[in-house]
Amino acid sequence: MTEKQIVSDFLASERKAKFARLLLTYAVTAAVLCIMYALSSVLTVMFVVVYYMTAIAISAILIVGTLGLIFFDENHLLKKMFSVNFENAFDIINKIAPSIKFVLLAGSILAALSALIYAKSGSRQAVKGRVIFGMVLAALSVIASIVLFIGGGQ
Amino acid sequence: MKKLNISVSSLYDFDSVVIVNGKEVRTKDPKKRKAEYTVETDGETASVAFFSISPFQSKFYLIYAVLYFIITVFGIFAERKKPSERRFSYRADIELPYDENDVKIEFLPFGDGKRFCAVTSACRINETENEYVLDKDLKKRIRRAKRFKFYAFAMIAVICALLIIL
Repeated sequence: MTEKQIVSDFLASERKAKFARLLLTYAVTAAVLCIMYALSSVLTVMFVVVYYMTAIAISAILIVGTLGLIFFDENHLLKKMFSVNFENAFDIINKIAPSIKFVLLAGSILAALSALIYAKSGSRQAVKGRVIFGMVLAALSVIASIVLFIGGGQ
Repeated sequence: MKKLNISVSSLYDFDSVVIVNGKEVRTKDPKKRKAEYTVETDGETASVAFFSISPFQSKFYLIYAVLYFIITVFGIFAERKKPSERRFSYRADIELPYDENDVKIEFLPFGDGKRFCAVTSACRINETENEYVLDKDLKKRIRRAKRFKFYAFAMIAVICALLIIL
């Protein structure tokens, strides 16, 4: 091989490596966004479960307390009792839940930016491993998102 | 068979190629500013060429530069590597008196037209080229690529604006 051919091959392989790193950047970014979406779905489901359980607990306390006051209300505390409106409680929680989703979205954007830094540099030999890793990560996260979406995550 | 071990300590980040007896030699364990190359050869001398390569040396550098700029979403996802008009070149014939011969190449600070490296070895070395160069052609190509990227960005911005208006 002549020197000119070696230089030409080197430049061609560097272009391929650059393209591979770019693909990896996009793959890792997509993967991170998918994971964050999946996580936000999981966390929202957990939150729903938690606040339903809390609402049930509060209701149970209030029902027992109300019944107790009805049957044993010698001091007419029922009239003076402060009544909790369950719908108000859900409204408050519904206001918080969308905010948490925005926080998670911001987190996913930051994670995507950090994925850019990860995929930015690499030697010619190291690129292949990173491309495979990025693609596997993207595939797993897409599968996770689909499973959660079908499974009824919000 | 005689072995030639070349170790390179670099001050700068250059894309470079090492050619020994007309064949490219690659380092097995790439690190940022240190590299080790090992070559086995039958001959008594090894002809070594070690020089930097810039993507702007390619024939279609302009097309590649503009395409890359577009597919990285106007450089947002592009690698942050500043193109340089500096390059270096080292050519020498190294005698191989022993079965295993070591050559150490250490980069010197940049200076246009100055020696690019200091070579330490027990072998006799006949240097034919050892210099840093500020390549004016490369400089022109880099500037041209920057200008074309700007025009590409402006053209796409105008098209988007027209699409929005219409």
